Parts: sequence; C-alpha cells; structure tokens
Amino acid sequence: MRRGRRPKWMINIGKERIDILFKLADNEFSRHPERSHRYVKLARNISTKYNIPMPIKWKRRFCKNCYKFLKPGQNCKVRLSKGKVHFKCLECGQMMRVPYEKEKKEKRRIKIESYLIKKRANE
Amino acid sequence: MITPQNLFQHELIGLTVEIVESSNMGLVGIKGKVVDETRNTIRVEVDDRHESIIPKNVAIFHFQTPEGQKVEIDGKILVSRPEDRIKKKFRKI
Amino acid sequence: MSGNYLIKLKFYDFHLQGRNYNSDKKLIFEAKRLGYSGVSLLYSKDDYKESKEYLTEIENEINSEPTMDSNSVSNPVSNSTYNLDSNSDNNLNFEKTFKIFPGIKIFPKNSEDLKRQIRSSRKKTNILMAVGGDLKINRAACENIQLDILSRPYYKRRDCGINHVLAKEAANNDVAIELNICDILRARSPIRSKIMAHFQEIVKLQKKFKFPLIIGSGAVSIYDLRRPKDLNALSQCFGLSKNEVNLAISNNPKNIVDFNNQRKDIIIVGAKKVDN
Repeated sequence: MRRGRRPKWMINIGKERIDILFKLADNEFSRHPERSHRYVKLARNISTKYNIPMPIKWKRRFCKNCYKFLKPGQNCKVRLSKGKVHFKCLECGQMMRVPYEKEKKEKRRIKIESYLIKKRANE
Repeated sequence: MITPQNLFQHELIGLTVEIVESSNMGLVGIKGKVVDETRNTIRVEVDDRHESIIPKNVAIFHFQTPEGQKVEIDGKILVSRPEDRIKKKFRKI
Repeated sequence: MSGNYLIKLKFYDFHLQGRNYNSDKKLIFEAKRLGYSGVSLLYSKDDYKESKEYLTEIENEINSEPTMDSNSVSNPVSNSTYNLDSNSDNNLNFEKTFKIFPGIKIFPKNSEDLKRQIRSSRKKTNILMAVGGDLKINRAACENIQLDILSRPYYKRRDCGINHVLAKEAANNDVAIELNICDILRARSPIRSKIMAHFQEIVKLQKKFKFPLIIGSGAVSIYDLRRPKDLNALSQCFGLSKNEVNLAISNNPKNIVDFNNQRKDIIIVGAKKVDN
C-alpha cells in the first residue's frame, strides 16, 4: 500500500458513506440545519482521509469557506452572469463561481449543426 | 449498501438503534434514530423533542439495516472516530 | 425466583476416541449406562465424513430405546441432586435424549501446520480439538480463536505445558484446556505422579486466569470409561472443588456446543446477526 492510497473496498465504503451523509443533510436541512452542517463536516473528514474526490453532485452543495451545507433558496443564492454560475453563501458571504463554458460551447455546436442540416436540406 | 457484514464499518447515522444491555440501567430500552456520532458517543433521537447521548463503551446495541436485518454489536468495538472505523482492524472469528 | 436450584445435572464426555462402527457403538452404550447424557467422538479429518453418517444411526437407535430400561440400569449418580448456582435455567428444561457430537481431532506437526489444519476443518465440524505437547504448538493453539479445545498440553513434557502467558491468551480466546483422565489410568507410578502434578499446576493456573477447563476420558475401549462421580472424586486430588468439577464436565462442554451452533451468525468478535 502506497502512502495515501487505500484498498478499493475502503474507498467504496467511503463513497457510499459520503453519499448517505449528504442525502441526510439534504433531508434534515429544513428542520435541523445544524445537523446538516455537521454531516458535511463528517463527509469531508472521510473524503480527505481516504483521498476520495467529492462527487460532482454534492460538490456545489457546501460552502468552500465556512463548510456549511447550502440549500438554494434558503441559505444560498444562485445566479448566472459573465459565463459563470455564481453561488453566494448567505451564511458567510463567500461567492463561488463555476464557469459553464463547456455547456456554452456544446450549445453553439448544436446550433451550427442544425444550420448546416437546414442548408443541406435546401440544396 | 449497508449489510450485516459491513455495518460496523459503515455509516451509523440514519440507522434505527435500540439499546438492549448496558451497565447504566437508565439507558436500556432507548430506541430511535442515530443523528450524530463522535469518538466515544452516539446521539439518538428518541422523539421530536428529546435526544439522548449514549456512551459507546458501556452498551450493547441492536442496529437495524435499511433492509430490516438486525445486528447485535458490542459498543466496545465501535470506539473510534467515525472516519477511522473504515480502516480499523477487527478480530475475525 | 432466585437462589439455588436442586436439579439434575447433565454430564458430557468430550473425548472419546472413535475408530469404527462396532467399537463406537459399544463406547456410546457404555457411556449412557454410566450416566452421561452426551458424548463427543473424535476422528481424524479423513474418517470424519463417513463416521458422521453412522453416528446418526446410532443416535436414533439409542434414543428409540424405551426410557424405563435406561432408568433401571442407570446409576444413582445421574439421579442424585446437586447444587448449582448459575445457569440453572438452561438445565431446568431437562431432556432425556442422548446426544452425540462428532468432532475432528488434529495432530499438528508445528504451529504453521496447526493454523492450516484449523482453517481447513473449521467449517466442517462443531467440535475441533488439537493435541498439544510442544510449547510452540500450545502457544499457537491458545492464541487461535477458532479452536475449541486444546488437549494434553503436558504430553511428553517435563512441565505442565501451560504458563501464565498462555493461560491469559486461552481465557481471552475461549480455548478450553482438557485434562485427560486416560493418561493417569495408563501410566505407571512415577509417570502417573508426574502427570498428577501437571494437573495440579494447570488447576492452579485455571483458578487464577479462569480459562474453561474440561475433563475428558480419552477412552479407546469401554474399560477406560469412568462414572461422573468417580471423576469428581479423582479430581479433588488435584485441587478442584465439587462445583468446579461439575462445571468442567457439564457446563463448559455445553457452552462450547452452544457457542458453535451460533458461530455462523457471528460476523466478527462483538458483532452478530439477530433474528427479528
């Protein structure tokens, strides 16, 4: 075992545990927000200990400054501007910006393709 | 998947638990959902208002997996930080 | 309800040497006549499978006998009463069936060999016994949680084969240590006295460290078998009290069987499955 590497079964259990914790945090937020913040902390402990990257699904659901759980509409503001998604944490005021360049390019490509198809159809 | 084979390494938060035996007689019979875990204790939500903190090393627990199987666990083997429990070495039989 | 019960005890002999159908049958019937309510016959790993089949036959035969007959033959010991302060609830449900537990006996060459043999035969049987002698083997046996009984740790040795370290380990891992009465019967005077001294030493350690102790007959023929009362009287020579002997020939063997019946439910030490 190399330093920092864990066997596969440990990583699998870790992934499952992270998933369970975030689901619970999502459910509990309306009644016990302090619990969901605690669950984020536990999930981060597992992820850092076993070198497991946070799943993309849950990556945007906690603040990177104060590590609190974010629920859009309650303690989080989500806006689009300048080609980026802005997540604002209303607990500490931290702004998290995630570019959506890939999606933009995808959209552009589809648009051009549809033009080309139309052109060929006209010919 | 939480199965009886890996329950003691898996996430305890969210499972139903019942205390069947303890050196502290006041704890016996507590039943509810686990809501928090630390190195030496677990916190059980008994009903809407009440939560109780139970030390691990003096009690024997009945955990119930999401599929409904029951597992009896001696609290002494659970004593470790929740994230360390995955790599803790348990004695096989 | 608390306090002492006056009840009948059940006696088990956990070390009968099994050979073939006829001798086994004789041994079992003799054991029943002497007042035992269960015996364990031990075989080597190769003979175990076929002997298991004919043992069920013998068990059916012996239980289908009319009970009146066995009562008239049985000795006064089995009908006599004893004080037992603990675990008396289990014994109250007195069953009259005679039980036979086939088991495997291991003759290890060294400690590695012992581990390998235990691993291969653990799942096949309920009772697993290893014959000790060498100090390294004794140590490996006491440290192995999968083993049930360590037999004759004093075999061919000048001391008793167990010391305080092994005793602690055995208590920790629930490995029972067996005193073999047959060794006393067969040996002549100088060796016999030495073996008695070894027994004394083991009993001394048992009182301090509380590992389970078992007294077995090690019988090959019917003339090696003795009544429970005789064992009781003999055992007082090496320092066991009446209650401790009763534990050694009735409760400890029963605990081993009970524990092994639920062994498949146990996942690790301290965790087991429970039926709803």
